[in-house]
Amino acid sequence: MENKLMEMKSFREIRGQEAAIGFLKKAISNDKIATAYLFTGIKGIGKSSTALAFALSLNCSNPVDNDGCRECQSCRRMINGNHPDLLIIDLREKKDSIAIEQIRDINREISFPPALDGYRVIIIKSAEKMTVEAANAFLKTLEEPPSNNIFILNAADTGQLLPTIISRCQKIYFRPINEREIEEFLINNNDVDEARAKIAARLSEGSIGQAKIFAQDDFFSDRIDWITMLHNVITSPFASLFDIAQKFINKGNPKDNRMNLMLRVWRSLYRDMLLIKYGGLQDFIINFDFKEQLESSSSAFTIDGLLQSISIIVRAERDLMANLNVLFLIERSLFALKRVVNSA
Amino acid sequence: MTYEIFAIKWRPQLFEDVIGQEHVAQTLKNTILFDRTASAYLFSGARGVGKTSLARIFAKALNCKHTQEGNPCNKCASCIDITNGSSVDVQEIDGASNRGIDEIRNIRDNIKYLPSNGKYRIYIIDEVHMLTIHAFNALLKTLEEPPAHAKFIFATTEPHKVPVTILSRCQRFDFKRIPLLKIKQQIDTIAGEEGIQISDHGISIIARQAEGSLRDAESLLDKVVSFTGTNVDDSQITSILGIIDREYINRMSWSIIDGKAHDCLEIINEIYNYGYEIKDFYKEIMNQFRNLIVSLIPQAHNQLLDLSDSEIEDVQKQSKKAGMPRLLQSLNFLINSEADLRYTESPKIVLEAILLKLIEIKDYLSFDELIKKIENIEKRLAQTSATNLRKDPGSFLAQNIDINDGQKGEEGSKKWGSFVQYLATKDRPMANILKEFTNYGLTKDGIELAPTKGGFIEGYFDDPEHYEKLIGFARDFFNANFTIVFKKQREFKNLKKTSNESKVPTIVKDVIDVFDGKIVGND
Repeated sequence: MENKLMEMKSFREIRGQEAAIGFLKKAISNDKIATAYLFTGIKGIGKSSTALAFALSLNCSNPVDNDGCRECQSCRRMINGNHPDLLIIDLREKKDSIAIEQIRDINREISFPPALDGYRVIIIKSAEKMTVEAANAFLKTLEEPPSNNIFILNAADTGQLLPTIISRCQKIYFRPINEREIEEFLINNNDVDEARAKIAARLSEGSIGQAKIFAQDDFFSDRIDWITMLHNVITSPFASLFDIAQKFINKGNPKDNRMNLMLRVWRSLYRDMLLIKYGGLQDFIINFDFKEQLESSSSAFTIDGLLQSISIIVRAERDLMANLNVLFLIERSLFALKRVVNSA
Repeated sequence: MTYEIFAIKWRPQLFEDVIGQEHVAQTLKNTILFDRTASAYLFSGARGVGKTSLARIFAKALNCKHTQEGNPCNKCASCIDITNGSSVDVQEIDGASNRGIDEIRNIRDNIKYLPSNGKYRIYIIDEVHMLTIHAFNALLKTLEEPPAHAKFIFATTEPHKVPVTILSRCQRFDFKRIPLLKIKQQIDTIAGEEGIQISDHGISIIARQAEGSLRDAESLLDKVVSFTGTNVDDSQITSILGIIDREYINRMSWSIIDGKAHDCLEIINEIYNYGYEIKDFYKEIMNQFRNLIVSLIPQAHNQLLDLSDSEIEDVQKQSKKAGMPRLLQSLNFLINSEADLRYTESPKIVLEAILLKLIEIKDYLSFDELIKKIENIEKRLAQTSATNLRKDPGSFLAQNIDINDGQKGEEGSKKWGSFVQYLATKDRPMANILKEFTNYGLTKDGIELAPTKGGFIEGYFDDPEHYEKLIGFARDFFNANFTIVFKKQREFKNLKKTSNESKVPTIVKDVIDVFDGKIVGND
C-alpha cells in the first residue's frame, strides 16, 4: 500500500475545511469534547488529515491556538508514528470490509487506560465499510466508552452506516472544496497548466484527492482515449462493440480503478451534452476542451436519451462495486448506450 | 478529561424519569409492586428511546432491598454497583460482540449459582438480534424454565431478527418513538439545569431533527453547546447541525414545477459546495413533494410537517400550479430513483440527472387525460364499426335493388337469388334449405314460395322459430314490411297448371327443376 502512514498535518495546513476545523477547535476551547465523532464528506477532502490533526492537538502539551505545536514530546511521537495512544483502524490489505475482529481488538484495548496522560484517539477510516457484525459489536463501546477515549469515524457515505451508530456520534460535515481553490492548489503544488487544472477541478467535484489523480499525465492521456472510445461506440456499428470492449480489457488489469475512472469521464460527457441540450448552461460544462465535439455529438440525442445514458452508466458503476465480470459489464453497457443512440 | 455527554449524564434513574414510554415503565413498576415478575423480557424499539435505560432501572428495582413504590432507591450498595456496572449479580452483555454459542453456554453454566447478595441474577443482553442462530437455540431451554433466581432482559432495535421461539418465551414490550413535544420538554429541562441559554425555536429545531429519539436530541444539543458554549444563538444551530435551509428546498421545488433547469442546477451547486449531504437534500425534496401533495388534500393540513403559515401558503401555491396528478407522478419518480443515488460515488451528477428528468415530467399526460383519450378512441371505433355495419355487402345490395310492383320472371328470381346469397353469409343451412323452394313471384312487399320436395323440407318453415328467423333476415334485406307466404306444393301445381299457358312435359319440368335451368327457346 502506498502512503499507509499518512503525513501528519496540523489544522493550519488543511485547506477548505474551516467550518469543521473551527467547530473542533471550539469544542477543545469550551472543554466539550465528545466521545465519538463521525466525519462525513466525499473522498479526498481532508477527513483523515483533520482527524489526525485533531489527535495531535488533543494531546499536545503546548497547543498554539488549539493546534498542535509539533515540538513537544507527544507531537513528535505522533509525527513519527510511534504514539501509543493513537490507533488507526483501516481496511486490511486486500479486504473490502472492516471485520468484527478489528472492532473486538479495540474493545479489548480500551478496557485499559491510555498509556500516557492524555487522550487515546481511535480513528476508524472508511467506517461505512464495517460489516454489520462489526458495527453492532461497536455499539456498546461507542455509547459508553471509558473516559479519555475519543473515537473518530470517517465515512464517505453515511447511508451505509447503521442508524444506531450514527445516533451515537456527533456528525461533522466536510465540505467539497471550492473549484477555484482546487485549481490554485493544482497549479501551485502539482505544477499543472491552467486548462488542465480547471478540467481536473471540475471533474473532481470538490475532492482534492481525486483532483490530484485527474491532473496526472496518465489520466489525461487515458481520458482522451476514453473520449475517442465513446465516440466510436456512438458512431460505429453494433458488431464492432465487442472489439472495443475487448481492447479496453486488454489494455491493463481490469480489476484496477480504470473502469471506474472511465465511467466517471463518460458520465461527465453525457452530463455536458445534457447541459448543451438544455442550453444556457454553458458555465457548468466540465469537459470544455471538447465543447465543439460535444455540441455536434449531442445533436444525435434527445434529452431523454441522454438521461437514459446517464442511468446506464450509474447502473454500471453500481454493478462494478458488486464485483460483476468486467468484460460482460462493459459489453452490456456499450450495447445499452448504443441502443439509446439508435432509438433516437 | 472527556466531559460527560448529556445522553449519559441524563440517563434516567427512576421509572418516572423515562420519557415517552409510560406504558412500559408503569407496567414494569407494577410487576415490582405486586411481585409478579416474569423470567424473561424483550424490549424492542428504535434507537435512543430508552430501552437500555429502562432495563437497568428494572434490574436495579428487582435487586434493591429498599424499593420506594416500585422504584429503586439508587443509594444501596446493589443499586450503586449496577449503576457503575460492577455488580456481580447483574451482568450487562453486549450481544453483538458476544454473539457465539460459547458465550451463551457460559451463561447457561453459571446461571445455576445463586446470586451473591441480591435477590436475582439478572442478564441484560443488549443488541440481542446479533446472536447467532446457534446461540439463540442454546438459550431456548434455559429461557423456558430458568431457575427462580434468574431473570433475562433482552434489548434490540430489530426484533424481527429474533427467532419466534425466543419471542414466545419473553414478555415483549414495544417502545414508541418519543413525541416531538416531550423531546422539546426534556431538552428544555436539560438546558435549564445545565445553565444553557437557548430559545424555544432553537429547541424545536433540535427536537425535530432527532426524529423521535431522545438520545439523538441530546447529542445534537451536545454538539451545539460544544460549539457555542452556554449561550446558544439560533442562527448558529442550523449551520452547526448541517440542517438544510428550507429556503433551498422551496426554491428547488419551484424551479422544478416551473421547469427552470438552470435554477435547478445552480441550487444543486450551492447545496453541494455548502457541504450538505446530497442524500439528505434528496430526502428533503421527497418530503417537500409529500407536503405538496398533502396540501391538496382538504382537511389534511395538520398532517403537513410543521411548517409556518407563510410556508404553507407558498406550498399551496406550488401545489395548485402543479396539480395532483403531476405531483404524484413526481413523488413516485423520486422514490424510484432513490436507488440510483444510493450507490454512486459522485452523487452530484446523479442528482442533477434525476432532477432534470423530473422537470421533463412536466409534459406528461395525467391518468384522467389518458382515460379521456382512450374513451375518445373507443367512441370513434364504435362509430366506424356502425358505418361498417351499414356497409355490409348484403344490405348494400338491398339498397341498390329497386323492387318494382309485380316484379316477376328473371329480374325477380335474380333478386331472390341475391337474397339467398346474403342469407348464406348469415345462416348457411337455412339458405341451403331455401334453395329447395321455388319462387313464385317476388313483389315489393312479399314473395310466395313453395317447396319443391316433400318431407323434412316441406315442414321446415312451419316451425315458427325458423320462420321468424327467415322473415327477420328478409326484412333486413328488402324492407320492414316484407312478407313471405308459403304455399303447399300441390296448390302451386294446381295454380301453375291453370295459369301457365305453355304445355311443358313433366319430364322437361323435372329437368328444369334438377338443373335449375330454364327454357330458352320454343319451337
